[in-house]
Amino acid sequence: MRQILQINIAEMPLVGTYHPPADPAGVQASHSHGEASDIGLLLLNFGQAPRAGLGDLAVRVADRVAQCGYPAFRFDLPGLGDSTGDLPAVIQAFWRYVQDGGHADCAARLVSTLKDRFRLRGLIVGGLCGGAISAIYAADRVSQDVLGLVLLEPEFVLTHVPMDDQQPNPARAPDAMSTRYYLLTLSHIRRDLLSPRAWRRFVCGQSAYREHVRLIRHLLTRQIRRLRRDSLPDDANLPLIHHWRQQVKRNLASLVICAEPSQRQLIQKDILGSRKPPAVSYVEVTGTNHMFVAGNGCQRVTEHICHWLDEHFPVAQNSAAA
Amino acid sequence: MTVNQRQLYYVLHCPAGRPKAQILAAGPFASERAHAYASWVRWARFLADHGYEVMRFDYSGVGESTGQFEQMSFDDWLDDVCHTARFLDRRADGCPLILNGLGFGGLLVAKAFGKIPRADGLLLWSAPICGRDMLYDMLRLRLMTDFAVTGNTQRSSRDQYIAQLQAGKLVEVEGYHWSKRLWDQAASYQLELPDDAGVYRSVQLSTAVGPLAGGGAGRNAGPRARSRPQPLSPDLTDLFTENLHWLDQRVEQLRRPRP
Repeated sequence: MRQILQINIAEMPLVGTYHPPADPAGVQASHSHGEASDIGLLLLNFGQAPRAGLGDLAVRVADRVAQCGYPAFRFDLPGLGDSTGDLPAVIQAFWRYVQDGGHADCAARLVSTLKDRFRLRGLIVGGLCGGAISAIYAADRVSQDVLGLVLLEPEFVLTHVPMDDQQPNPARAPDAMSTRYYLLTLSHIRRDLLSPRAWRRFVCGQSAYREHVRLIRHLLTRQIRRLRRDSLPDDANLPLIHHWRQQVKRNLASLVICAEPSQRQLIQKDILGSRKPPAVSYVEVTGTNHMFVAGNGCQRVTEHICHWLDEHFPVAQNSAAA
Repeated sequence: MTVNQRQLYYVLHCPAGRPKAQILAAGPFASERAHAYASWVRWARFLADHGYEVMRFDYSGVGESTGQFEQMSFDDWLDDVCHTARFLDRRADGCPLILNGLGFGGLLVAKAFGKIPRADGLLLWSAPICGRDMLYDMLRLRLMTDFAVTGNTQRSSRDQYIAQLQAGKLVEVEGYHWSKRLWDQAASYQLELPDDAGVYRSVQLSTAVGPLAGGGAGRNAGPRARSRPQPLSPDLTDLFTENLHWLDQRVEQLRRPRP
């Protein structure tokens, strides 16, 4: 029997579903009786989809995981599904918000709350796409409470937000453009290159060339990364990758399931390096799509997760430890 | 709520004071649920803010409700509608009941309208003419997925999938497995409108509010596959306001003593 939960995080009521674990005989048991695992699985929203996910993937995973003896939770983060809250108007702006860790605090507090309320040793946090991103950020904030990560189609590349949804840039106003083009004539550039005053203005950010600072910084960063043999794409989400690398370094068990073969190079080589870290299990599910709603993706993903949980967090061992 | 040993998930949006009327909101077909959810929730909250008590729910085997989708069919979901109506009946306190359906939900509530004596109005959004037509159209989603996943090779046609269904095989569409029973029952579900045109309103949603009804191509694609700016939730102010106006008028009609 599923139970509906409502948990207040920063005065924001989050709505979620709890799938109580079954005992080894397959009968759903109350966790407080100590018959099931003391490690839970928390699934965060798959992108902007409600907590059930597309094709009810999250529901199926949670049901199956609960059958295997693990308490499972699915929650709607602020503004999504049944939880209240504001969201950006444009989908790309929402994705970028998540990629920048917009849900991290909320997810981290949710993890700690669930751990305390259900008297768990810790939680495995996961999600698909944006959910995986929030899981990585949350694991960084409450590393003592997060025991593992289930990352389905994690997105390590930043989404470009259409200009309409960004703050207007005064430097790009037409009059500024015309002045800038005037100043960028060859003779002026030559003159400014040899002028100590021009350089002082440039360093102080008062120069007409200030727009080019970003370009120079970008070129320098790219050169430095090339020298360091860092092959990440230019639009890689570096803070997210940094957090995940740190978690992998501290041997946090991570299951990565991808549908798109293009992810393999990025995750296995560019992010994790040529030596495969023992804490990371990488699985590729072929013949399906990003949301795993084709080619029996739901069933295959569910089985991979249960197998991985059994391998890394066996129920019998957990119960004994409890 | 328990219906036929299954847990039916529902959300009740209550207004601040005594409700003007109760609205039973039946959502779209399973594969459209996730895409329309945000707008559907906004509609329910909007109605509650304007004095209506709204109940929305997930069909058996879909979303938060328990049950196996492949074992469910139109009759089970019609049963869900009737059960939820009875639940509202118990807390009615004399106020009218209006059935509201989006897409497939419209087809169901139109059918349920004759079976629920208390129902006083019918508000349909993009209700299909027939269940079979709706499923036939939705098979397009499977064809789109096939094209995206396998390209030009190993693709079946819509008729081949129908043949598989008729042969008793399950066909996966957007993560849900359709059964022969679903396909067979769909044929008997035709849009049944009441004789009295004053008790219902049927609206075909324009493409401008497409995401409410499910979005278009690339709906299952990840961030990298979508570069065009897309609204996270469409602006539905006009739609909400027009339909609220109709609801208010209908409730006013019901309040007037009949000659």
